[in-house]
Amino acid sequence: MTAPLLSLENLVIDIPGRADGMALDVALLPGQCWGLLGPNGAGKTTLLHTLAGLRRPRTGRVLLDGRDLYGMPRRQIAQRLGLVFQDHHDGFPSTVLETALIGRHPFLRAWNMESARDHELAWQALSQMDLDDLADRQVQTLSGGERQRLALATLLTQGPPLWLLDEPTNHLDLHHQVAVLDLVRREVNSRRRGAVLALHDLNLAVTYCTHLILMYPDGGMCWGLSEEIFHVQALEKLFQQRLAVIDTPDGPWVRPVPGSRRGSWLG
Amino acid sequence: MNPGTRKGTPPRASWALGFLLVAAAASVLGSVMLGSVALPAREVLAVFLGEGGDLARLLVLELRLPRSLAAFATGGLLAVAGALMQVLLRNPLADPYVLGISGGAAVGALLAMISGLGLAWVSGSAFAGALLSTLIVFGLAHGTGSWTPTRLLLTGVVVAAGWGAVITFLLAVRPSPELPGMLYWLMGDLAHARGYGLPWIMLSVIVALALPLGRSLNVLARGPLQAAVLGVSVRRLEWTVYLLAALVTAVAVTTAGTIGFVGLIVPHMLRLVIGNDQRLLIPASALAGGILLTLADTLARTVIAPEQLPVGVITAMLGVPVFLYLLYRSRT
Repeated sequence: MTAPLLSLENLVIDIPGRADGMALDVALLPGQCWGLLGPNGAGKTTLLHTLAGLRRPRTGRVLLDGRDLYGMPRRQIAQRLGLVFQDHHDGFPSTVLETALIGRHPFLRAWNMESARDHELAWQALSQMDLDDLADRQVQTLSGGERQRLALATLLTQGPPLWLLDEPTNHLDLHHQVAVLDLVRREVNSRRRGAVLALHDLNLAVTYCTHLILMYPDGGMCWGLSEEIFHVQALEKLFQQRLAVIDTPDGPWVRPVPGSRRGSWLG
Repeated sequence: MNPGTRKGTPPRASWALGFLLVAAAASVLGSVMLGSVALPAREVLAVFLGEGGDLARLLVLELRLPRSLAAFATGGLLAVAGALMQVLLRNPLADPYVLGISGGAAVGALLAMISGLGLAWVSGSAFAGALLSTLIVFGLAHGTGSWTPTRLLLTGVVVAAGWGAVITFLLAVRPSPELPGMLYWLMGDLAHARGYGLPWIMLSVIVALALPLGRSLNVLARGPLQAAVLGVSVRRLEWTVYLLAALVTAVAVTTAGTIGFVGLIVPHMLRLVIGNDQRLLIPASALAGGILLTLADTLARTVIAPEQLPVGVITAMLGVPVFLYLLYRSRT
């Protein structure tokens, strides 16, 4: 049996003022892609940040390559996992190429300059994200979609075995949404990486993820293989929204029924 | 564009540093030539080679060169302090003078001098003052929420005004002909420059640290979370930079008083030309800050000769418009 890239043991994320809900027990193996589904405020971002070691869980632990995540130096964590944030803050001017190159930071010693090999990796990543023509552009001049693709190019340049992605399809047009998710699936399948994605599009989630975690705003959790978890009643409860299911040869397809919002998680 | 051609230090970096080195030498030479008695370059070089007349030797070696070297090192230190604080706060408006760090260092140094303590104590006390001021400003501005530029600047300006009042109070209750006067502490004045050894050592150390620290600072400039994900121990790096910025400011202030705006003008101008790679920006700031203050001080002592202006007047005249422009542009 392969060793898990990431193990969540009895994990409860820390959202102030929320009851513990259900603790997560998940082993993420190479070749698996886990999707996080849930309404705004359910804790998808908090969970991703907890898995990246950026914040502590309320209880339980996270093992990265079998070692306790919260005892590891940041540099070693960064060699094993990467996180693409939902928002990008560019305080100072910087070019697209420079931004991709910072992905090499965890692999360089203090005195090293970036080598030809590092530049090569950055260029490959830019070209995979259709950004090679923009390499010399200032980051501030990019559109939202281009900036999002650049964040993914930085992750590709970093190239860790575990990818954490917070709404990676944000700001992207349909073509690039599919391109990004195809890339994630290809990397996960052929290079035996693992991925955890927060997504809002249910159909994309079930198409691309091998496993799903449904996150309820009250702390409830539900996880397992995508085809077992992707049930219309569970999804309707999750989003407080009636859904119509269309059966297709590739599996069920859901769409919201207009004007049928039930209750609200907002209170 | 061929990926193979883009590796190692970009040639632009070598050009920029080379140009600044030449300009640095020229600025020091020019400042030694100019003054009440103008000396031709030939004569100055003769003195450097151990020749030249007695008057020329006196002017160059005893009066002008020490002051030029003190000006250069102080300018370099202030520019580097500004560049470091700007990365820390991800805000181009950060500057040791505007944020009250220089004021804290001045009060520390002045207290030690009034107590009659030696030079080592004066520097140590200035460092303590700078660090205290850093903690007050950054602590208060941080509060529970995140840093906003407005909140940070307001806190810094108010703390700086407070230090100004403390300096005025101390000089009023303990007037002493041995102490540098009010202008020195509030505006900066190289006429009272105290030695150039320590500031030069400090400047060399900080530039030598720029290379190993620089890439981590580049990543930190993109925000603490992004930096942590890319393997930076953010807390440790931030504390290192706080301490270094306070130390550098303290040495600059004990050398020449509280000269303002060098840390604001220099990194801003350089970023427009050479970008924001700290491995290049910090050494370039050290050189360009030195050049700026050497030239400003030469102007300060020649423009209304035989009277002398405090150098802080010149840097403020340059710095205030730059500051207002940056503030205006940062409105969102």
